[in-house]
Amino acid sequence: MRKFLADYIKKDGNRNVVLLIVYLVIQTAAFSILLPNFMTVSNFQNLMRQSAELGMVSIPLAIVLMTGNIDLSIGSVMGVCAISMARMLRAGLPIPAAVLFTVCIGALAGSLNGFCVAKLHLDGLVATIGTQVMLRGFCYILTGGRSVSGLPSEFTRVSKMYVLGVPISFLLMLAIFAVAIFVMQKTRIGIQVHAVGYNARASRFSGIEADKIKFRLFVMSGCVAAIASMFMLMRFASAESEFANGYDTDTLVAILLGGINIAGGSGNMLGAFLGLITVAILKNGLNHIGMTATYQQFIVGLLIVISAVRLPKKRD
Amino acid sequence: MSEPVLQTKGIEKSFFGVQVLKGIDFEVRRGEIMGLVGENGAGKSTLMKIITGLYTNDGGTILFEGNPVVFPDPSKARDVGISIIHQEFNLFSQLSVAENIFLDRKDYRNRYGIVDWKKMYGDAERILRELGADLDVRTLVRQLSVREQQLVEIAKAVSANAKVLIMDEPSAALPDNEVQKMFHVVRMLKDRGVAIVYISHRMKEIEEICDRVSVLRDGRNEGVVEMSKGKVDDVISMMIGREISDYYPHSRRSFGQVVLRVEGVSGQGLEETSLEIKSGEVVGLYGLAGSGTTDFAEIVMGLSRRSAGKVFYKEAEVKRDSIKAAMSAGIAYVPPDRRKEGIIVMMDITQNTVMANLRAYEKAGVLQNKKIYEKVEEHVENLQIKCAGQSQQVLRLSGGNQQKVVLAKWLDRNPGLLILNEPTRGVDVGAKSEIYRMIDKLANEGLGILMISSEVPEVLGVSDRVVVMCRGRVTGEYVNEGIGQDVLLKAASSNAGGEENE
Repeated sequence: MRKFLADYIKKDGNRNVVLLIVYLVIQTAAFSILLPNFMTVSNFQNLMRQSAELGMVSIPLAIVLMTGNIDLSIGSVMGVCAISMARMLRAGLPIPAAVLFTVCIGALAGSLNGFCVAKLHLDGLVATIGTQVMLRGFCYILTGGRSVSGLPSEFTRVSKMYVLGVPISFLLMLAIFAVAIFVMQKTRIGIQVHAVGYNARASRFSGIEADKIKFRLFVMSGCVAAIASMFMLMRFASAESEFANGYDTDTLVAILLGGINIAGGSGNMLGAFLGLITVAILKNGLNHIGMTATYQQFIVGLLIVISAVRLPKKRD
Repeated sequence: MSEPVLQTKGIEKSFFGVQVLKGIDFEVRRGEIMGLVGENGAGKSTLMKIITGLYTNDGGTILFEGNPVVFPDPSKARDVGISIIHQEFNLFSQLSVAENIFLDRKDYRNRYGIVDWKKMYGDAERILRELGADLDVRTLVRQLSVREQQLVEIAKAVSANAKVLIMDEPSAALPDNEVQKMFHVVRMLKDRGVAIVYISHRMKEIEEICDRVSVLRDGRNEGVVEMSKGKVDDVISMMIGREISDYYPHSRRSFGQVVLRVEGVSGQGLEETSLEIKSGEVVGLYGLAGSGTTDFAEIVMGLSRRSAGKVFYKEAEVKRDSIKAAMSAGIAYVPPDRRKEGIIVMMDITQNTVMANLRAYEKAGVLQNKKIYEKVEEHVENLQIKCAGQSQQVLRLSGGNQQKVVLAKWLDRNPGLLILNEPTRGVDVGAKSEIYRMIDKLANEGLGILMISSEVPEVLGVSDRVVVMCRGRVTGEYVNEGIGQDVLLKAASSNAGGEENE
């Protein structure tokens, strides 16, 4: 067992997984001892609802990062999707049709990113900062500066639906995670994604079509952002132009904490998931303590920096 | 016979419980060029790192001018007169030549810490002039050629009054025509009484420049050879531990149908090149750097753009500019730059081996891990890849074993044509001979093989037919029967448009 653990940690990206599990246990234990209202069903349901959307979008982003790319436009894509969805519902479109169109809009936004990165070969950072600002501008155009509310209750009440006490958004997130873990470990794509992230040239020389993979990932990222935005819209019951603004950073925070290498290549989905849960519980606990969001942000940032520190390798 | 300047006795060293040096005796005398050879992993670098104080030895002693010494770090070794020039230079590209030479010297600062530039430039100029180098000492190092940078490294050692100069693969980064100039400088230092340790894989250079050669194998002394003509074979057999008569195995075989036919192909760096390779035939493609041999391979493989011409694989035309088309036709390509193009160092042997053939292991979209494991195990055995297991990172393998992983990756696709580009570059003698044997075996099994190489002995050793390229054109084609090295060299440097050699 000890040897297994030692080998596991040595493998790239797993170090953070182990550290995070240890940290998570300590953190949860500390909160449940210190805070009387922490270990309650309603608090955990709340926590799950809040982290579900972030969890969904962190999945494709983690994979995008593994290919050595980045997507900073997620928040804006979510904004455009949610506002469009809200307007479609207000216009009386049936819910299934609105869902379908919204996912299409997400896919379209994703393929815009994909086009910039895979076809025009722009740097991912530059391209998605561009689309981030562009699509946020589009949000303002779509809302005209007013918030869109008055959504049908059949839609908004979905966020209050539970299966065995677990919010369905959280279940959906878990399902997407499960699929992603399966795909990354058991299929061709998993190996190819890591290969492209570690060494794009060598993977091209092995016949791997990196551009195709990147394009599809961005489209997928857009679709998942669309789905996540709908659940968020259900919770808030209204959409305004700042919808999901800054979500890209929150997502990055979660997956960087999970040990995904921003330079591409290493990292695994389990790490991304644990990073997400850790941040969610931390923020929730700090909320209970009564700490304001501004201070919370400071602490989460500090955690990222600490988690990135590597002890220098011993000489010899 | 003079006393050795530097001598080691019974040096031992272990890493993580694995003994890599098992009692090494080594010596070098004043004014002597001592070669140090051995396969990768034989212990050459470890020994040199112990001598210069980068590692500490577990056992044995180092004697410098007869006295036992221990250097806590390399700067102390340099202070007494032992300098090392690593394969990768240790220069600051944004600083001038003079600054690099005297970088960590205090002699050029007055007591206020102000640098005496005039004195520094003057001294740098004097040292370089003595080395016969015509360099402006104010030039930034990044503007220098590789050879000039090497001269700066040598000047650094000379300025530190080196009595022993260790050169680790000094020719590795140099263009072929500049090796002689480097030799000239090395001989000059020898005449001045400097003891030189010359580490190299290139036997031709060892033969030419060394007075004696120490051979290491598996962390042990194999012996010391006094160099003279013809002794190099002894050195090689000591290195690999067997006779080298079968170094280039070359079976007689009959060729089959044409596997690859290239007709008038042009593209970046390539002009109207045609070539045919039959099944079971090994064609050596020889050319100097920039001759277009790599461009040829990349265009055939669909990795770079083909502007004209046709490529046929067994009579079926291969779509242009698509590596997928070339791969699915049955062409495989082992590229020259192993670390950048051949392998993914951070991934393991298993993943690297199946990288180009993942679809073959899919069942309903899911990879069959057991099937993969068994197949990779087979490759590891067939190619004798020395590793701790399939899940070992390729980074941790020696150059030769990394190359075998690249080979395994392509053999896994069962290709009909294998293009090997500099397959033995950066590979030790033992692995080299294994690769040659592999080429022979694969040709016997009916593969067509195109081996691109800039090493004449290798081309003549393994090929059935040799094609020479120069400036993007074929300048010569010969059946490999008693052609001389000079013929190939002449064709490779000819400026002619080319058919006169047919």
